[in-house]
Amino acid sequence: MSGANLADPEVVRRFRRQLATFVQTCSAALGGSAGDFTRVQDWLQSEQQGHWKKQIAKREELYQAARRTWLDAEAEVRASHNSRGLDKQSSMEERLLMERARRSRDEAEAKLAVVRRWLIRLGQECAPLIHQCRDHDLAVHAQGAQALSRLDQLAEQIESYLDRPRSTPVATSNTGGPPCPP
Amino acid sequence: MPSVMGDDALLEKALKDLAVAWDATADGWRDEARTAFADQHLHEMEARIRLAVRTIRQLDTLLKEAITQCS
Repeated sequence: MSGANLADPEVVRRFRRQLATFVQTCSAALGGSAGDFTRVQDWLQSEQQGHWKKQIAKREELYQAARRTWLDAEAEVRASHNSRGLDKQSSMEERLLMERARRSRDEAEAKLAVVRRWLIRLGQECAPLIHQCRDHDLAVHAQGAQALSRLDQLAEQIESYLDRPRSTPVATSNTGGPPCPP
Repeated sequence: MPSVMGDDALLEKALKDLAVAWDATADGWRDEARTAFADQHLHEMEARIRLAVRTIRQLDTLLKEAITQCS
């Protein structure tokens, strides 16, 4: 091998170990993304969907109670006007409380709709990305295996060359022959 | 609330570490086999990892947006 300058097969062996670590790290990272997706999907399905459903029920109750209070107040104001008394002049405060309760319930309904939309969107948009991650993982694994095997081959070739008696002719091929020491 | 790990950064760091390790081999390994190894194996893996980083970023963006909007 012309221009060869390899002193120690340990250089190749050391890089092989680093490459093996690299392949493992990549595999863990690509697998981790699928885990992230599953965790977010589970969180939306089991926690957030349930949470906002309960919130809607609770806020609906509060709204209905506030509405009843407002209706009672309205009746009281009308009765007060009819009797020309001064007991209850306005139901404005009750009405504001009722409107606030209604807004709170509407917000919970909107939040549940957002959660449901995201569940659909994640299924449509994330699933293909997860498949891509798996493809990348498989490809890196296959490429890594080939590269590691090639490094094994190179290290063995260097070692066997170094073990030869000095009289052995040096391979001169550029394609796969053992690298020569300086 | 779930967290998204940011595995794109992990991949980029792994790629950087591998490049450093590869450069370090140049001190004791200077022949055509080294160049051929880089051309036939490392460049291809690097290209694949860069694609993977892009995919993970797209995924993370979506997941983080979902977490923010649904919290």
